[in-house]
Amino acid sequence: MTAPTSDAPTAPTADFAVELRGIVKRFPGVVANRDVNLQVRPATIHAVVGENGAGKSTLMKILYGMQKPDEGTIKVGGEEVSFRSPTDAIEAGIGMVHQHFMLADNLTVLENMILGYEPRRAGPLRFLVDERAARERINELGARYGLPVDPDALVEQLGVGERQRVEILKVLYRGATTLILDEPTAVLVPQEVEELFANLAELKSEGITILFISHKLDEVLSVADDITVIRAGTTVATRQPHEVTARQLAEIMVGSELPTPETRESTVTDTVELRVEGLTILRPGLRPALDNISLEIRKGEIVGIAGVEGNGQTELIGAIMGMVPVTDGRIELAGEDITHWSTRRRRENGIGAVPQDRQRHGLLLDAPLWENQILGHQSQAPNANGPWIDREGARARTTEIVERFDVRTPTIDVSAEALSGGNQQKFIIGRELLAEPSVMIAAHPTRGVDVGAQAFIWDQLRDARSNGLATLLISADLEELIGLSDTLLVIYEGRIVAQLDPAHATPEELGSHMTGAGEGSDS
Amino acid sequence: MKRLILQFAAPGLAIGFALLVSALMLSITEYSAAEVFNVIVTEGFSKVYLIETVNRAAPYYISGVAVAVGFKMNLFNIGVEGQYKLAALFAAAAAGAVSLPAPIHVVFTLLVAMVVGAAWASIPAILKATRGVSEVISSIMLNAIALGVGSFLLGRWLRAPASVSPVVGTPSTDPSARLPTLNGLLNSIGLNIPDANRVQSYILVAAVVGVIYHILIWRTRFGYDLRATGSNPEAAGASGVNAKRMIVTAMLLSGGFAGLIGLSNIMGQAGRYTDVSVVSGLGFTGIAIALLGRNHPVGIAFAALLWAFMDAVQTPLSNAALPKQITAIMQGITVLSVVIAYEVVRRVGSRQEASGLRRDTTEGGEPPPIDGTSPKVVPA
Amino acid sequence: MKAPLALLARIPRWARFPLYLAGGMSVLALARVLTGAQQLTAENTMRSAIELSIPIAMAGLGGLWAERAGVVNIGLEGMMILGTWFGAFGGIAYGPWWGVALGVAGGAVGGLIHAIATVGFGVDHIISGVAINLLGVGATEFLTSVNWDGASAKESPAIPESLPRVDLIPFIKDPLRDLAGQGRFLLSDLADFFLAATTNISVLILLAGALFPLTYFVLWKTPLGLRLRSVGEDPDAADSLGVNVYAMKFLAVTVSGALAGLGGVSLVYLFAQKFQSGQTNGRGFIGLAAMIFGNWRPGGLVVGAGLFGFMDSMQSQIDETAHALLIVAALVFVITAVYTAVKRRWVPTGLLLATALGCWYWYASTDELPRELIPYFPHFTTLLVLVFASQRLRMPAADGKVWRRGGR
Repeated sequence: MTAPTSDAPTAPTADFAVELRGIVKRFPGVVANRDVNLQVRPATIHAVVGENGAGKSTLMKILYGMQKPDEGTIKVGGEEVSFRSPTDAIEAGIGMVHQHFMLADNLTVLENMILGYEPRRAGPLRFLVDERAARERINELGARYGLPVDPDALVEQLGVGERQRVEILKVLYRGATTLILDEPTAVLVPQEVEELFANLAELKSEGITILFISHKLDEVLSVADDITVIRAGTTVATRQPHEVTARQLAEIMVGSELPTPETRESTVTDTVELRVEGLTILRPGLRPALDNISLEIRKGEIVGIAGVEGNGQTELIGAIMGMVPVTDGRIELAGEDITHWSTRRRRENGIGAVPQDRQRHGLLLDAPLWENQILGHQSQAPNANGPWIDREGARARTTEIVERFDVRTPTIDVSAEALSGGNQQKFIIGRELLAEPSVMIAAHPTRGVDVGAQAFIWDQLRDARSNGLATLLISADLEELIGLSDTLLVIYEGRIVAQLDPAHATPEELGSHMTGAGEGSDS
Repeated sequence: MKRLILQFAAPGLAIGFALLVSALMLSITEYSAAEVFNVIVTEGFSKVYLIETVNRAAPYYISGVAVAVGFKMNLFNIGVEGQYKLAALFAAAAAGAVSLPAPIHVVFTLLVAMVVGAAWASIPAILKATRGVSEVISSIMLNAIALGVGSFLLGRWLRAPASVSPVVGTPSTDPSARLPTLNGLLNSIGLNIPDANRVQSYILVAAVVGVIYHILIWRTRFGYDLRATGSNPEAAGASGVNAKRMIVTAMLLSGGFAGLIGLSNIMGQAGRYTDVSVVSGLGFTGIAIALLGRNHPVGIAFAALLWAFMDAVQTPLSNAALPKQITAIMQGITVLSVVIAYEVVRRVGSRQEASGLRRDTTEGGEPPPIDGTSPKVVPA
Repeated sequence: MKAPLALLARIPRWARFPLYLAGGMSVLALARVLTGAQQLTAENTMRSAIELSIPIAMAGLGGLWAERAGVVNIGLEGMMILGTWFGAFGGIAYGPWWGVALGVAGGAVGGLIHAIATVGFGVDHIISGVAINLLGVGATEFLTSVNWDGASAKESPAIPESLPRVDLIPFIKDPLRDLAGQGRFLLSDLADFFLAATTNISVLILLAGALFPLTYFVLWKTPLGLRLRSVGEDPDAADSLGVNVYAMKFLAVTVSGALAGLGGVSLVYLFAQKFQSGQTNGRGFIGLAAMIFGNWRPGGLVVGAGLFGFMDSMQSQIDETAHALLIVAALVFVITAVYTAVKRRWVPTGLLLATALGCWYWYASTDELPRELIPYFPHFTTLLVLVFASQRLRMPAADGKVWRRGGR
């Protein structure tokens, strides 16, 4: 396959660059997209915004050929198309720039660029790569679109912003006229964000259409020509920046109704069980993962942290659990400085955790249930007896968990991976709660859990709270956060940007803080 | 119950496949597969060769356990080969150099062997931890270097004076360092074992090793941590396990067990270390046996006996002028097919278990989502 | 002092070989002069070193092909053994060139089995490799006993015809020999080396040698090679760009086996002229070490194989020569110490100088190196190299990882 000759894109027609109508995509048990309609004008920047789980990523996968829609049509440049693979999408001119770059560190920019699409020498030397032609084209593209890169640099040596330029050039090299950028500013520092936006403007002026997926409303408002909001798997609105404010957008994203928390007696005491002060995790070349975070959790309190995934929640949990080293800051448990304690010591002293990825961090999938019960508690009763594992104790406790937490399983010898996600989650919650911790870190405790089990888990968390448990609740489910939290914090780009009262928080307030739209504005 | 069948499926399939291929290979030669199998079955199960099997199985078992300790942690102790040779040399030399009352002498010998084995195993572990050296390559190099170091030490310093023994070897140990045979015991319970066929009591040492292995890995907190790290290092880390320390400890343990592999003859009739009294190749055999036995103390026992049997029958085959190496081929193919069979069986088994369970425990809700997105469609 | 180092870095890779060669020979020449061990750089020694380096180099090249595609091939030893057997079988039954072809094919079959297990079924790379090693030994012993002698044979009959040897430089051969005999520092040593590399040289060596630039061209200059390397660096990225990851890995591992087979063939046709059980003696693993030493590049691999081959040749040398290796080692340590001193890393400099001194002392206080250790010089050197050079090595990023489409 020879490299396409570089020619300017054709003059804009009345057709949309990309048009989606009535797209539906189902997975077993879930409808990821339904009734999606999208019309992207050529040579514009069209933003697609929505929360996690709203269906953005599935939609993008459909657009660039990784998934096929169950219903609906896709039109590119006015013609209906059907993609069987990303190669088809690229041939139709649609190129994807992933959030997690697909670049091989040990290869040069040139090699990454031409991989799978290599230009060849003429005639008898057809089996050799035509490096000169490749280099020329890369430099030419770089000059035309204002994305200069050094073809011979090793990707490993490039900074994040440069790598993104390479990724963009990679799809342009293959003749893409429509670019999809997935959360492109997620890992950029402010200066790199500015450079990116300048590049996007340049691309636009050269006729390239850009689809910009994000949850950061202030950025979107500054760079997009059109904004489409996705909520709950469907496109709910399309606006232009001049006719809408960030808060209004946030409200559309989040939905105009928030659940009202039930009135109850507050069980919050005055004793601070866990305190975090000035927690900072620096990353070379990137924005800090955590930036001077401080919070307090009291006995009998649930502190909820709202935020779009990827804004520091994982690192915060890791820091409190002792799995991630911190650059600066202090963690105190019941007044004692535990910043340098090992994970095991923290667990032994009363910190329990429900991990956000239960299969990766919370279970031994091929081990039986009663052995999974020991996980995280292997140094304490009833699981341990000196250096020995107390099988009877562990099994008895496991049976107790199964009964009290409604874990549907025939026996306690079944291996953990056989349980459904909901039952696995109930099991983990039971395991942690029955160990009677003083602090609980609950990350997405009802993710992937059916409605019935969810209500059950919430009840358990509430019961534990009234018995004095101090809980840190991290979730993307606003209903959960509002319903359970006594105090509601919002995390954005590694910082706590707001503290709200769950009973009185409005959707637009919450949404705008979560998406950075509340930055700098008076509140 | 189903699980048990699945466990046996893989080795069963593998052995069956190996038999098939062996029969095929024999068919292209002038030898008859039927004749070969006939000899294997009739002679192999005679008293003489059964004893041979049992004797060979003991070091195989220990080797399998040594490797299995590493496997449980997802570590490869390929260095077992060098560890056991050096350990045997040092233990024989040490045993020959002292005079102690019987039980202490035996224990002393075993301890020296374990310490040397663990020490030699620590080298790749330390190199990996400090300099990032591939433990596979360094272990393989150290296996060879152990041979050189061993023969150097034996030739220069550890050998019995040539006047006493023309064969190069360590000084003979006192009887107090030897383990008695089991012939007397077995004869007293009615099995008539001719004196010429010695049943080494090293099989008891192997049994003890097996018991220790079982208790250590399945009954102690340390063992739990080890298995958890092997199964899911991230979850183990989240549960408080110190991964680096685990790796070093596991390697040392594996090396310690490895040290015991080569002592059966030294503590038996030979009474000393010579080129003949310690067999080569047991390190790689251990890998095969651990794989076959799925790192399970009883499974490894079966595997060790099977392997030893296939070795032992080489003699009657050779006596019958049949190609004895056919068993070596069977061994090789068995290993390869068993690992493939495990992969296949594992995937089939877990898929079945999961879907079966999901059918049985209907919650009326949705199964977990594909990519972490919330399954609930929030009402607009 | 920094200027020469900077200059060195600007020379293109392929042109560095003459420099390395000159450097290495200088060290050997200096050691020869200092110790009087004339055999250190004699034509025979050089020839032996070159010949012994070939099997190691082939195994290493095989390892390189596989690991560049992300598959660790510990089974090189087994594939090499298959190469020795089928190489001998082909030679006895049909003729030496048939032996070469069959030996390569035999190794390739071993590679194919490894590929099926690791890429097809997702078996752990090292386990599969170990199994193939076991299989190689067992299968060849069986085939030997069945094909040739009775049921207890350990070697094949001799292969009647051997591969041809050539003289590449018929005209300057004699003047060079004169120069070599004159004992002049470096000039005579280089002459010896050159003679060893161009006279009475088996065509098999020429064939093997040609495979190195060929590998370089294929892997670094063709689309196929780029895709193969990308699969070893980042299979997900490659997959996203339409590269057939599975096919690349299969190809690489099969080629890997073929090359190891060629290594086995060279063991047979350059030395014993027959198959012998245990012939490979761990050279498959040393080949892997040479590959690591060469930082997974063919050029570095050649240097590593040469080094290990030289060590291997010490077994058949008189004591004086082996003893002189201590001085060679001392010189190498001193040179490295100069390098670290230039970089102002004083602690390593001190350690290196102390080690050099220790080597010299060992040399001065003994007459010979322990005979028992000499066969293991290659292994020991490997270990040293790994220990000291591991930090600067860069293996393919996805090496050893089992890859399944869609992730797992």
